[in-house]
Amino acid sequence: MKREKKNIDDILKRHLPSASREDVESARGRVLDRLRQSLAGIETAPDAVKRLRLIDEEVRTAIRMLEGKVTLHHVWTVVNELADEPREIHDISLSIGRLGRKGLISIQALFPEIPAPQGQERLGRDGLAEEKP
Amino acid sequence: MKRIAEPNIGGQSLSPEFERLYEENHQLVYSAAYRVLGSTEDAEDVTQHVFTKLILQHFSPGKPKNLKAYLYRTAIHTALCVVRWRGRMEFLDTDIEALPDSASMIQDHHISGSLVDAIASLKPEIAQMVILRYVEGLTDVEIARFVGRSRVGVAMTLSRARKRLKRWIDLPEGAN
Repeated sequence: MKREKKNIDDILKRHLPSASREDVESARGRVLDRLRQSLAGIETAPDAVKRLRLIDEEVRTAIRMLEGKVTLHHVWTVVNELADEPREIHDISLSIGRLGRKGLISIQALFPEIPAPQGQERLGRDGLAEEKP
Repeated sequence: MKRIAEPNIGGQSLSPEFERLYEENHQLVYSAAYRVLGSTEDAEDVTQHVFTKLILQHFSPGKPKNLKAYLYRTAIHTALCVVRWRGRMEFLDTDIEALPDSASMIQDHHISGSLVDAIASLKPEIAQMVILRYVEGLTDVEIARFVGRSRVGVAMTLSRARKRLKRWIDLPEGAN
C-alpha cells in the first residue's frame, strides 16, 4: 500500500508541467493588456449589462475551447459547465447574435445555416476574429 | 485556444483596485492553468477568462471573500473543462483505424496524457484538491483551510482520488 501510494505520488508530481518564471512574467503583461482592452469601463456598468457581458464571455470561451468546431448545442453545453448558474439556450443564441453584430465572431463561418449580418467577410473561416497586435 | 479580439468600447481603464488584485493573483491563476494544460497560450486564455468572470460577477473592491480559493478553483475548473472538451472533439475527429495501439505509445507521453485526462474526469472540487496536494505541495491541513473542508475529509477524498487515478492510468504494481 505504501509503495503503491509512493508510486502514484511520484507520477503525479513528475508528470504535470510547471510554468517557468519567464513564462509567468511575460503572460502577466499580455493578459493584463487584453483585460484592459476588453473590460475598460465595465466596472461601473449596471448589473444587467455585466450579466450580458458575462454570458458573452462564457460563449466566447466556449467557442475558443471548441476551436471553431461548434454547434449551438455544443456551445450551450460548454457554457453550462463554465457558468455558476444555468444558462438557457435562448441566452446563448442571443449572445451569439450580439458577438456577431460586434464583429467578434463570424456567425456565417460558425453556423453556416444562419444568414450572416453585414461586415462579416473579414473574419477567418473558423469564425474567430484575429486579435489586434 | 485561438484568441478573439474585442474593441475597447469605453476608452477608460480598469480600476487601480482591480489591477492590484490582478497583480497579486495572476501567478496563482496562470500557474494552475498551465499545470493542467501545459500550454502558455491556453493558460493565458484561462487566466483572461477567470479575471473577466471575476470583474463581471464577483469583484467588490475592499471585501473579496476567500478570493484566492475562488480564483484557484475557477482556474482549475476552466482548465479541466478545456481538457475534457478537447478530448471529446478530438475523439469525434479521429479515424478509429488510425489510433495507435498502447504498445506503440511513448511511455511518458502516455502517462502525462492519461494523468491529465484522469484528473479531468474527477469532480472539480476533488481535482482541485489533487492539484493542491501533488502540484502545489500543500498539506492536508492547508488544503482543508483552502477549500473549507475538514482535514479528515480532505485526507479521505485524496485517498479515494489516488485509487481512482491509479486505476485510470493503469499503473502496474511496483511501477515507478
